[in-house]
Amino acid sequence: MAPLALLSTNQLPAVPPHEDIVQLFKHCMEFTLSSAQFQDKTEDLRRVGINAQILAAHSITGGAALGVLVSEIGRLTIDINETLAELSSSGSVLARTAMAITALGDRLGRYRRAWDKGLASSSSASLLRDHYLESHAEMVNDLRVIHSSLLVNRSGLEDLRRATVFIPALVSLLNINVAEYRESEEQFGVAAAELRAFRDFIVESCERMDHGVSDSLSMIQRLLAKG
Amino acid sequence: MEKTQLFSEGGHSWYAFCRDPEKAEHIIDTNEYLIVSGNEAMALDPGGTEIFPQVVSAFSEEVAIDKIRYFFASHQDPDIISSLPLWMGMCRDAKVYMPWLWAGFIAHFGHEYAECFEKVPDEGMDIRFATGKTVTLVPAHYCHSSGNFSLYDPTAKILFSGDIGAALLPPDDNHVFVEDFDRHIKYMEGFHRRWMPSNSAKNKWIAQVRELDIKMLCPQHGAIFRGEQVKDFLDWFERLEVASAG
Repeated sequence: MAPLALLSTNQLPAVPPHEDIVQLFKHCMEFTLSSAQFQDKTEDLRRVGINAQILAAHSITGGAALGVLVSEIGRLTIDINETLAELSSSGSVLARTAMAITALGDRLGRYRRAWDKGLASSSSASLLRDHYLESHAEMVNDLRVIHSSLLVNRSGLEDLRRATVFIPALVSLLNINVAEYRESEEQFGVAAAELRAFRDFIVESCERMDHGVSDSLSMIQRLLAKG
Repeated sequence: MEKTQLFSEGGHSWYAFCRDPEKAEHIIDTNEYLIVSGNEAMALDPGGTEIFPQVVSAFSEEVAIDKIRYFFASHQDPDIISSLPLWMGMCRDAKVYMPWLWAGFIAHFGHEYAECFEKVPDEGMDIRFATGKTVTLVPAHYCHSSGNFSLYDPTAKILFSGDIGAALLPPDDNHVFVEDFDRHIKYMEGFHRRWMPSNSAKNKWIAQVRELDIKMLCPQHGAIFRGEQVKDFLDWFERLEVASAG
């Protein structure tokens, strides 16, 4: 047991500000929930693919163009699903760890207040200090887990953006075909609009999520530097 | 927190920690009790997370925190035991006595410590300190919780009654002990009418407790009853019709 005189407040690493922890938790949960929304949108994409397949089977003049569309949508769906599986698994780690970190931050804050209220000068000071340091180390470890999980997620977002980069070309292809195959105009139009909406959703979501990831990464770096 | 020694004899002591001046306004005031017996201690209804810093630092003035070998939760409410994970982080070998009925619920405050839970059967049990001194957990079911215990110490002749005998005192009333029983009634009447859900359960508890030799009755909220006031309280409580929201 260390002599009590050595146990000053300075020996305890700082408690991360509550607001930062809450903000980090919020970012992590937003990311996790947004990842789940992607799953719903891929269902939309799959539906566009199925509709196009049906159209291709029934259309005499537009069949070839729709065949291209079906195969492109199929490839897109596979690419996106692979990325989403990674994001989803990373998202659940993120949510679990963010939850743990919130509880740890709360615990550290209360221990710190106990220390400041006089426990530092009691015979239990070294017990509290050891436990505090242990909890703090656990928190630092969790922050690192979140940090690496966010880096994986950032690269996942990039993959997602890359997967959707061909959608405008696909939409142009559809628009060209609309002029050529008047009898399928309405179906082509619906497919083009759904693809455009899907891409807009991905681009907007990725941008928003990327912003959250950047915020979280710099917050974690700041917290780790303080710790 | 104001610390009051309630009993001390042959290395066996009781302390009450009440009237926390730093307590946030919206938090109900609670009393925490500590029994120190030789080299061990027992914390009774150690309180909620919000007041943990005050309670742990107050307890540490009397005992090294890792000497707290036993925690007792009279029931499951957050003001009783939500601080569980904070305590167990520091007292890892301690046992936590609680009504068996609530073990799965109290685990929501910190499931990782569930191995330390001692699930008290409905009929109650004795807990023995290393000194040989024993305390008895007395059934108090439906007073107010459906799984509830009081704790009786035959050495100190003190009954820790949990929410029974509780009073909601005005903020400027800092008395640790009841000064005037008749004047005290108005602070506890509404609480007991509303929070105690069963007249028959209440009367059953009173009948059990009348068999005990009690010098102090210590509730978790409000002031402590001493001497004749214990009988006054039991008589008053017996007459009171409870389970009323009106």
